[in-house]
Amino acid sequence: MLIAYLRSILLYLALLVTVRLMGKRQLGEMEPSEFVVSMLLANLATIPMQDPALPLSAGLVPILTVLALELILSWLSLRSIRIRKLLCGKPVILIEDGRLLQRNLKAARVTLDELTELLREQGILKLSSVKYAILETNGQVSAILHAADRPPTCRDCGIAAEEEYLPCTLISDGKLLHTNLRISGRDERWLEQELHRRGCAVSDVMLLTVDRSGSVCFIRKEDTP
Amino acid sequence: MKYLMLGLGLMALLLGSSLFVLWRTACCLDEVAAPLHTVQALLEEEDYESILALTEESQSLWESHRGYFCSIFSHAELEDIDQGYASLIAYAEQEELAELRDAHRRLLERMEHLRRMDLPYYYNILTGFFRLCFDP
Repeated sequence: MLIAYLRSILLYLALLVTVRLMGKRQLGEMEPSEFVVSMLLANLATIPMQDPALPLSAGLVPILTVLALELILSWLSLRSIRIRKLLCGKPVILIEDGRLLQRNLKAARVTLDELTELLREQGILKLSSVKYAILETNGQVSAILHAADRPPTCRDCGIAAEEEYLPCTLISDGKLLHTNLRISGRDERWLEQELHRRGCAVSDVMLLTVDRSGSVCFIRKEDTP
Repeated sequence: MKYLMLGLGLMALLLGSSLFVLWRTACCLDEVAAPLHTVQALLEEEDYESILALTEESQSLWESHRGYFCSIFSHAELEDIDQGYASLIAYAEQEELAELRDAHRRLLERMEHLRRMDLPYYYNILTGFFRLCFDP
């Protein structure tokens, strides 16, 4: 058990260093420590699960050790910028003012093909239209276009846009959600009036939402007349 | 802070449990091996009756701790010891001294291996897995 504990600590740290050295583009959408934890947990759980001859402690001790290390390191990375940089790395600028920073591209081990692919995924075809392209710590590329290449906004066009609010679900699959009704600032009397106007009861409603502006979305259940 | 305390608490709990298991395993195995160490002296006198009685006493001690041993050792390791006792008893009944000596030495070695395999020696950390797999 003690050996399992010590080996889990060593292997966790070794994997963390390895994943950091592998580079950001290997990570998908996870931070290095999250990637290591998900990779380790999947394997740690399967070995004692598949082999009933192994004691349960052989699986539990490493899993709990990895969990404890992840809790400690995530707390430390929240508190210290230095540790955060050490564990997660820092974003790398790949394009600045439309100019490809080849040294950074090499350092991040991202090929030009990969960069153009990641930009195309965001609907960007011309490198020159990119003001900044940043390789984030989770391996994603954030691209910011030059002001002239950005799609116009309502403000640019001088159009008064209507604000949108988060809708609050009041009835879901025929069930009234009392807490949401209270949060939305409506009461049961208002709801009764709404339902009466549509000629149905609570049980006939598939979905009824309301937002702060008073806009109601109503969907009736299909099997009701 | 809550998560840090949880993490540190868990690490401390795991370290504490590991050290407790290490200590308890050593105590239990010492208790089980004590009659077998007495057998060592009786082998010179060829007192097969006493050897048999002490081996059975050691085996019953082993059986009394089986639940605990099952939670920390793999089935293969437990079966090794069971097989060791079976051989020792069989050779004692047949009064075959050379085989008895050999079986006794192997059983004590297996117990010593179980006692030492969780000690925090560098070779246990680095090669414990390979030693268990290829050099039982």
